[in-house]
Amino acid sequence: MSSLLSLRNIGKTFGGLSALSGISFDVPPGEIVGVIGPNGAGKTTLFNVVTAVFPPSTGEVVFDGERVSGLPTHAIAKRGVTRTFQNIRLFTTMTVEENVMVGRHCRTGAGIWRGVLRTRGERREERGIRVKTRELLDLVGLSGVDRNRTAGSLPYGHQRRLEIARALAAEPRLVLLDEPVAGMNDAETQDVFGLIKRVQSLGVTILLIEHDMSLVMKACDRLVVFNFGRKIAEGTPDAIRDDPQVIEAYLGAPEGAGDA
Amino acid sequence: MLEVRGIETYYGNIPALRKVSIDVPAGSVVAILGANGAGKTTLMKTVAGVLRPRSGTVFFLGEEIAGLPSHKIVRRGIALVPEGRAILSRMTVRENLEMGAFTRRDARKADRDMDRVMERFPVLKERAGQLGGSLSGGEQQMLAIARALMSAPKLLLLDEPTLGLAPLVVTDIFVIIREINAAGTTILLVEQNVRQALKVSGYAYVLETGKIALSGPSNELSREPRIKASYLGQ
Repeated sequence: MSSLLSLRNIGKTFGGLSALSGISFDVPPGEIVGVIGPNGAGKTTLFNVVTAVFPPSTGEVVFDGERVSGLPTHAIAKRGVTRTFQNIRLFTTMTVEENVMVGRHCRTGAGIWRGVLRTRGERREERGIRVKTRELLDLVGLSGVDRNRTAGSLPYGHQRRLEIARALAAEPRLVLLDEPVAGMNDAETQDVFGLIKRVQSLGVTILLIEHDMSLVMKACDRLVVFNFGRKIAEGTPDAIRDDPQVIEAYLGAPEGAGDA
Repeated sequence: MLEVRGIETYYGNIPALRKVSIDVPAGSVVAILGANGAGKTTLMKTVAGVLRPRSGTVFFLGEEIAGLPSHKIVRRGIALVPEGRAILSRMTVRENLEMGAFTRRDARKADRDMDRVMERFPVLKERAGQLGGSLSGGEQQMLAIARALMSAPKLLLLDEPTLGLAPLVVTDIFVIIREINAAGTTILLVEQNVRQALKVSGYAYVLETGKIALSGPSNELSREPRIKASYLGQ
């Protein structure tokens, strides 16, 4: 099996509007693949198709050799695909700890009866989840945050980290990160770069949407570039950086964000 | 134009701002820098009347506005582009912009401003009839800025206007910030792109755990070793 995730001719239309068309690429296991492109190019739509927020209009999503397009979101999570959201979607009134625990739901065995009866097995499982939760909060750099605070009261950058912890709680094989450093300064971005690399070293494959080019160029093994719902380029960060089409559609001056 | 004096804002019992004072002179661009959790957004929300300070005063054009409800603050000429956009997702792009002009009484001028913002953000014109929620993240950010401009503010509060925007558009936004300022609007800017923020602003404050840790003319701050170490990655 050469690729963990394989997208084959994915198309998505909303009414008459074509958001994605003819998208095909592969994500090899263990790699960090970046998806870049102008605003409205279809990057988040692609994440929504892969995680079955909505089905593709054409084509198929193959994960670990199995067609998963058509399956519901929770089934896809159970197979090992989780994500974060560009417009952060935490359970804002639940605590920091609870948000991560929820992420683990699809890996737990206790059902309603064991939960109601508080059986020994159920209690042991919950203790295990809390330990795991603390490890994850530690991993994403939130060990200093009060676990009993409500998630909505955290500053934006910490909420992004919490979303990553929740996504990792399901022990995914593939995690989709949608702009993980939006709203972070250079130092914080450095931290998240370290975090992404640690997650990769744990054997997790990563699909990354990000506009911070310093992060994308450093973190990604390969890049896929979108514009107007189509793939316009694919290759190593170095090759992409010099691709005239990409420069015109997305990067502008070779220096990136126009910092002269 | 805006004078913030010793404000303290709390979330429950947690102090988010401790005796913060800033000045925003008329016609200027002032930047607020700082790490996540430093209190930047809290400061913006307090000025806009979304949060009420526990103590301290906020003067706008010589009048106390701390404690006023936000719609009255908007009417006096302050508009906030909130972090995370907060666009009205079930209204169309055009309706979002109309809501921005809700407090205005000069309909004809508002129509002209509508044409102007559509010109500035062509993608909004293209999508005028689409629901706000159907826009991509970056397009929503543009809509949030455009909506704030529709109230014809004297003071524009921009809380991370480039969040989620593609590199080319980030460059555009800073050009637009300069244009808006040149057209006479004063700007208070929170921005993670510190290099650009220091370039576009005349004066900047650095917040650290709810307090002003550093302030000065932006060109001097950009040479300040502490700024370089914390934000410019040098």
